[in-house]
Amino acid sequence: MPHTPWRALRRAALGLVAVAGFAGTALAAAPVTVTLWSWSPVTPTMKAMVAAIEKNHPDIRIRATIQPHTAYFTALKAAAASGTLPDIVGLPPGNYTQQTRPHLLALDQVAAAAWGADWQKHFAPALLTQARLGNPAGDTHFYMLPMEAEVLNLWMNRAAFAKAGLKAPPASFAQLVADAAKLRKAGFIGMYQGGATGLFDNWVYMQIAAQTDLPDLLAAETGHPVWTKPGMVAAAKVWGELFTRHVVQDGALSALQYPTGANLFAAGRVGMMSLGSWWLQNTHLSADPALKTMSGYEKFFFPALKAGGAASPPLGGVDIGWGITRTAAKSPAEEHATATVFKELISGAGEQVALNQLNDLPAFNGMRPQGTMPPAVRKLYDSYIKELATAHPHQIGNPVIYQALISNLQAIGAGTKTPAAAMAAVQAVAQAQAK
Amino acid sequence: MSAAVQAGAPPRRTVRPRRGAVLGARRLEAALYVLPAAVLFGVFIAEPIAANLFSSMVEPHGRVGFANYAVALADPVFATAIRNSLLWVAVSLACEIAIGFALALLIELYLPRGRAVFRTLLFLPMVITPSVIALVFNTFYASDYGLLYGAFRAVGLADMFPSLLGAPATASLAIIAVNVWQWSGFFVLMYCVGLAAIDRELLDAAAIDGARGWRRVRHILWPLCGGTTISLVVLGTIQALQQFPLIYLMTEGGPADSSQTLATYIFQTGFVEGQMHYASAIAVVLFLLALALVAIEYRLAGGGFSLSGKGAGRG
Repeated sequence: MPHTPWRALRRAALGLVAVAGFAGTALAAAPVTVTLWSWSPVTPTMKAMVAAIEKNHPDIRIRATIQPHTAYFTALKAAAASGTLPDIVGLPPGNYTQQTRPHLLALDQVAAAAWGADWQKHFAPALLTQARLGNPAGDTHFYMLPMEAEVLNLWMNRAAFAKAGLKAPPASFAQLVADAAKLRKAGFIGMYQGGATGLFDNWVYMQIAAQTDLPDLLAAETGHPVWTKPGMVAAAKVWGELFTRHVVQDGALSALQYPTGANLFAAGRVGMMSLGSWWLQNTHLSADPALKTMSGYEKFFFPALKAGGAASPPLGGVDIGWGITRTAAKSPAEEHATATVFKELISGAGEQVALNQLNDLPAFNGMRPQGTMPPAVRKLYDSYIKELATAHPHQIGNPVIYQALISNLQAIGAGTKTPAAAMAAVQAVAQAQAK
Repeated sequence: MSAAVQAGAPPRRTVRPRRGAVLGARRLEAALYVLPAAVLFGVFIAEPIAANLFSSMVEPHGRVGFANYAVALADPVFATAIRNSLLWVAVSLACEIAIGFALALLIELYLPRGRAVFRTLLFLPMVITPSVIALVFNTFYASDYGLLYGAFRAVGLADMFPSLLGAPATASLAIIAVNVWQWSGFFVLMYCVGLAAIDRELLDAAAIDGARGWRRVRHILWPLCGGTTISLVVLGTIQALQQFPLIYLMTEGGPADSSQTLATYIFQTGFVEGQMHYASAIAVVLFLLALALVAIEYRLAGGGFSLSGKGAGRG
């Protein structure tokens, strides 16, 4: 058969049509990719969550990126400024959500589509209040919805306590001071404080202030300038005593809560440490039987400041929530995929995996970890669930006040400011922010 | 020669371009050569600086003015950050130059062999990522479990152990020491290059004139490394002013903001507190400070920059 140019051209055209057809079919069947960034859960848990969601939805691919806390929020800010945010972002309530709010979708419609018009009944009211912490006056929309919640508390290492001749966690502040001294004498760090990680300075102070002046603490969290009220200053004084009476380790202000402190605590070098309900995730992350069964650890709340008094009431609330960015949905298929992943992260396969690994406590009503738990873990978990129901909020909405508080708490710890002067400085910042 | 001329035809008058036209063409050609670099400079350097300058003048309620600068002047943390930034430049440079020059002298003049090995070993900290260095030195400085604490305990001085990173008075100096540890190798390497470039005949002549030992270092080697020193001073100044990861990873600027520098305070106000316009104002101050310091150094150096030791620096 002679090869004419026309015939060759016709063959080429047919080839092109065939290739285009295959490509079209392939494109039609290609899964939709949803991008997701967060600092939490830890990478192994996130990978398992992604696998579970993708198994339920073969038409969706999730590209999840987990970064350390500081790096993540820096990347988030840079991506927001450059218009390169992913579809879904992990957010704590309060200042970080507020900073990202201009780039976030109001989630009310997405939530109604996922869980019905009365979707708010699926979350504890306190968690929804926290989710909106810092919204401008009159803005009742939700820009993040919680996936998991947390309760703050102190933990003790039973083996360290036993070696120091101690049995139970301290019931009073005086006993806390005495126990720390005994632990130190036995070769342990009495109470580890990662003072360079400001978040935990803030949380320990708040746990103390919850005893000395809970109403003003809650008012301060929402921006009211009440930092010089006697109860708030009294809490600052107790915070200072943690340093002057050597409850926390020498050099605490230069120590990191994560990874250093958590590693030392897990390694049995520390008697007590301020952490929270997420410590239970070690039952899945660690191979150490004391952690795996939590038989070596016990939780307690900041002990009573006055003899015979009550320990601090639980503080807690949203640990992590998810927001959808305004740039997320570029087509109906992407919109559907993003909403699907969002739902799975909060109330579906994703959250179930996280709960099964005891990443933290569920924010969505009715969700529970599946499978069996060691008795000690079950007991701890159930008590956290109860405490979460009555926990008071633990986040400061305004980032400038938050930083001022951290700086001044550190100044008290370093002995460069008196509690009264430090709280006056925080008050001045809060007043300036309130204007 | 053209065929017409060869045939004896009268030569054609060639039209010589006007001098102005030639100059214009050359300028256009030069401009075309410069254009890509100018565009890159404009897009990646000039525009961001201008944008930052504008951002620094946007006030909290959207007006344009100098309110952010006024806030900075009344901000005690900003004052601490300025003080610490200058401390970083002064202490880092003094230590790095002293250590760098001294070790380079030892390696180049007194080490019979193995110079390359020592240079490489001293340069190694430069290739370690700051996050690893920060973690290692956090542990090194730590009370109770740190290496330094272990040394104090070993000699029965555990009670006298100073919490260098945990005390506001020493936190900055403790981090500067880490920076000096990391960067001194670079200074050694540059001084080695500078010393190697010195003319041997000059050294021999000086030796004949009786310049030996300390006198040779003081009056011959140190002045002849002047260009290297000035270049290192400029590079070291910029590096010290820009230092961020070590400070942030070791103390987050604490305790109580005592180790904040302008670089970390820009990050805190902009990215943590969300006050981007205020952060821009601090960035402008950092830019002007770097510019002023480098200008002073440049003037003192008489414009002599060289890593080979052959600059016109006064040394």
